[in-house]
Amino acid sequence: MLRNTTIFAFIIIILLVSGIPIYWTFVTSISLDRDLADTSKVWYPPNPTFENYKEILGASKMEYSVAYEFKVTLINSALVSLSVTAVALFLASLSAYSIERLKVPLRNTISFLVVLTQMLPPVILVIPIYLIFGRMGLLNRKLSLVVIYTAMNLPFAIWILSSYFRKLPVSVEEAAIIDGCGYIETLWRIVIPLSKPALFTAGIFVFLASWNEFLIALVLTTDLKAKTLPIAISEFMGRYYTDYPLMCTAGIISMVPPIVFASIFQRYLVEGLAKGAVKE
Amino acid sequence: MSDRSESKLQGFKGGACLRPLKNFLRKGSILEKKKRRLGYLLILPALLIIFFVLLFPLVYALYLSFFDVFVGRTLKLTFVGLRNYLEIMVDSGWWRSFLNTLYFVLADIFIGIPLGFVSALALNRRLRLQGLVLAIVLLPYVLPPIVHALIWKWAFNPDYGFINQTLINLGVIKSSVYWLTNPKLALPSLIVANLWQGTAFATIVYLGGMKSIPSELYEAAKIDGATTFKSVRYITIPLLKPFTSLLLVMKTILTFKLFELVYAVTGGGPAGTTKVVSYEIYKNAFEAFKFGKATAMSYTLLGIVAVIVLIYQRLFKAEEAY
Repeated sequence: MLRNTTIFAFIIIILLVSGIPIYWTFVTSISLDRDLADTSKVWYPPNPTFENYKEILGASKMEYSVAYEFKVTLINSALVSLSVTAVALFLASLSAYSIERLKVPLRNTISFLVVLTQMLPPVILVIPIYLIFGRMGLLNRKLSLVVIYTAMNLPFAIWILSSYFRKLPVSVEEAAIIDGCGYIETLWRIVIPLSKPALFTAGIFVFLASWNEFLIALVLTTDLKAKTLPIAISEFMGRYYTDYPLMCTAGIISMVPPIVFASIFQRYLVEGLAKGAVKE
Repeated sequence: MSDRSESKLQGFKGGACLRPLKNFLRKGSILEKKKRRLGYLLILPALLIIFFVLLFPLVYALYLSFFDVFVGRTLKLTFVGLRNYLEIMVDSGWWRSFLNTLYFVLADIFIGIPLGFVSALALNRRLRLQGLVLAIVLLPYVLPPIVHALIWKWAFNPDYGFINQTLINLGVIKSSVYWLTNPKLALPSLIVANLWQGTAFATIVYLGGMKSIPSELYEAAKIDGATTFKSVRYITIPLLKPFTSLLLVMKTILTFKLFELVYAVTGGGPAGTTKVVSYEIYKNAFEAFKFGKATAMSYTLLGIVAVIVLIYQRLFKAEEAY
């Protein structure tokens, strides 16, 4: 009995430690700037308001403001991350199929690239990329970010998809090929529909990695047309006078995709990590 | 012999009918060559992108590390041999940032991993609202790093942060503590912020590992009269060894990448006390424009991380040999 109570208390502490910093950011985001002192005393704003959220999401081009900058960079982030996810999944499906079914002997190369991309501090990559892209006039473009993030996430996506393809029974595919189905049609009509779970996992990892990426976007984008949300947040954090509630609102908004994915797929993530560990 | 009879038995079932055809395909026929050619065609776009955006820049960076790089209208390179590397050896800023990074890594290993293990032990049971509990535990790990930085900059805020607020309410301190601007407190504060994320990661990995241990083992131990402590000591910990090894390697690598927290919360200050290697490299490249030196630092960092990982591997192997 006592033991259960201790464990229960410990779990509560774990949850508080994980949750409170985020809760604090959230209550700040719904506070008025002048109420901050009160909010911090009672842990809840006296006049809770979603004004900041409306300000960012409804900002218009007419009046240039920080809120407008947040809105544009939010859209940029979404566009970049979605494009990277689509392109990476498409290329990874083709690659995984060619490794697993068309006998292209590059499985070990891909494993090596996975280790390399996981190990490599991005700061090593960003210097040559900046010089190369700068010389080709490709700085400040969303497309450049899409290409770079795709390259960084492809090995991992290929790895996930090919270990899934390997487990699929080949008999259906063979039957299709005998019936005159081409390889590409087989991939598209049979393998892809059967691989939805793997595509989902890979897609989430790729999307979050692109959504969260900071250093490369920081170096490569300075114009509003290409800047991503994390960069806008960091610029805003660096100012001497800061509208804290607005800053926290931007933070909370950019937490939304990770939180949604974490809550829907937590069990899957936990199991996935465990499987990955055993494989190593 | 038995093989043949088996195939006869299966002769009329689906898969085996295809065997002659498969054999035909396997014999390096024209079809087979066509198939492989198509394979290379399909993987080519991915390989091209990876080559041009990942591998070529990495080699280019290694090349640059032997030059003095001047960025003007065009790139001006002057060969300097190993000078950049030698300069780093005697650069106190570099070694300081390296030492600071090492503190982050050590805290992660000696506090974050054990704490994550204990948390996972507590959470590894049937709980009400299990989904919600796991999601909350996962949160610190999935947040964008810049938001992680924002949250903690705000938490350490002297006037409105919840840390000072709580400590004042509890009577631990009388007036606000300046966590991030006091040279003695800034690094420990950032280490705490980093542990918040690192512990979550360890908890998740261990939790996944614990779910893979069959419950019969614990039941058998219980029948034999083992206490909970003993079954943790002799079942859980040994069986989770691969996960501990993985965590050691991953945490070392991940923590050497640490950048956003320092960049956005303290900017390396006060007085350089919170500089870490990634940040030092970034500053050398994009504030001092010493690209040659910065790339040399990058490769020094890569070398150090590789050596540490190799040492781990040796240690794991030595353990197994016992």
